[in-house]
Amino acid sequence: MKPTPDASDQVLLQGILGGDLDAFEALVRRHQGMVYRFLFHYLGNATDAEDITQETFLLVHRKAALHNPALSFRAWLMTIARNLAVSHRRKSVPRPLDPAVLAGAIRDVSPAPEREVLLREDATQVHACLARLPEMHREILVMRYLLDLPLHEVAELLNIPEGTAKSRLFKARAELRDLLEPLLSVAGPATSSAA
Amino acid sequence: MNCQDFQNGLDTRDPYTPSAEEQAHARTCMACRRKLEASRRLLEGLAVVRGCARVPDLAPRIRQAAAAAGPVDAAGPSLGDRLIAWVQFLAPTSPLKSSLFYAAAGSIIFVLLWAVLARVPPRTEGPAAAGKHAWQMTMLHGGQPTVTGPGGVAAAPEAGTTFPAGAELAFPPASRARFRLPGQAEVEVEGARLTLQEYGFRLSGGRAKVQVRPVSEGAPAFRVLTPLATVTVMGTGFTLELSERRLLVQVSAGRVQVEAGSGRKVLGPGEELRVGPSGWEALPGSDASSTVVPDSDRPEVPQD
Repeated sequence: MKPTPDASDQVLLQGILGGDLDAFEALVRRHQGMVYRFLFHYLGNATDAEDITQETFLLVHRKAALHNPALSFRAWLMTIARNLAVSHRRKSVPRPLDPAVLAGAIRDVSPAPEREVLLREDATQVHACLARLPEMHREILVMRYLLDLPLHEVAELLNIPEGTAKSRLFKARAELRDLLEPLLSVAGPATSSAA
Repeated sequence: MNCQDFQNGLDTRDPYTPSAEEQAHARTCMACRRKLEASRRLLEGLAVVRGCARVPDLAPRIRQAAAAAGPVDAAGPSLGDRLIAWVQFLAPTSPLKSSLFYAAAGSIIFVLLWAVLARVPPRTEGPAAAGKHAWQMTMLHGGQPTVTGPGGVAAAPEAGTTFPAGAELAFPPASRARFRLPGQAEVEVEGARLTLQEYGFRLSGGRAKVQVRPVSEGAPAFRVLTPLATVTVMGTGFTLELSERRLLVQVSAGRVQVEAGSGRKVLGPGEELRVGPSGWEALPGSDASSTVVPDSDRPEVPQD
């Protein structure tokens, strides 16, 4: 039976336990974006992100019976993805951003051609510096700024209090900024918002 | 605004938008301007990087792999998995959970502390506590005593003189003084010769009126040793008058046990007793409620 689009994660998990591959596919489609984007930014490598995304969902499929319904499915899924990414990261090598994709992303952020060079430099340096951060700081920055999740959800996914998430985020951001500062070309007068 | 304030603002706001004051400071401070510019470019760089993740449709490929991998592992979670899941569930990750978590932790700590502290006897209830509190003497009338053994330490006039256990004091006849073991006992002596002990005293002559706070069950009792008898406090107030050949014990409140010769007697309120070298000396009407216990049942009395 085809699962309805608004079926909850719990209902889909029940379907998976009953051997329903449609339910599994629906669950993958619902969450693959978050998992893939997290892994892409965390690992800095699209090929590895694809492989680990697949591995994450296969583990969910195999261990669906282990999920505790009292806990958020997203938190459980992200815990699996993080654990796999951490163990895989030792073998993974971050790669530079694809120039074509980067150009598209820059146009999405600012269509002004005169800013393209600067944004390209910023994005390249941020991508490289992110890979140098400790795992704990990298994952929270990825979740907050690259997955654009609100802080309370980041705290829930990391299974830490919101206050802890906040202080960790600020430390991580300051560390990334300190790494970035000497790499950026000399600044002019600060006139625009940093938000 | 100084650089520290600027940095604090930069590092503790999400999202960060510099105030007019912060922008004004950045215009005058090169280091802060660089930090502000780095923050701005960091967030812009993150916005670009965010758009670089083009999510492929992995669902068909993952479905195929799942179908090839075989059926779902239907075994439920192990005990360890359940335990970890519950620990994760109870972790203080939301304001409500945090409140409950810290309230529960605080209650447990309070109960444990209370359980430990409730078992510790108050400092006023035994010789161990008495050892930490020396006797304080205040002269009421007459001349100062002659002191041998550990000497007294003069304190403020109203606080009197402090004596440790072991001090021997001999008062001139008719000279009166009050001894206090703070929170535990008060003794008024007249023309007395006494040796102070940690939780009691040895009376060698003279008169002593004793008021002792009741001790908890099982705690060592306050004792007065005399050449003729040992008086153990089981209640609160009594008077001792010791001459060369006779000890007079008068109880005003509570109960007192007197041990002499071959037995012991327990005196209640209003009762009195005389003890001579040959043992008990009868007093008219004083034997009604006194109990005489054979010598074999007598508790051991320290003979220091």
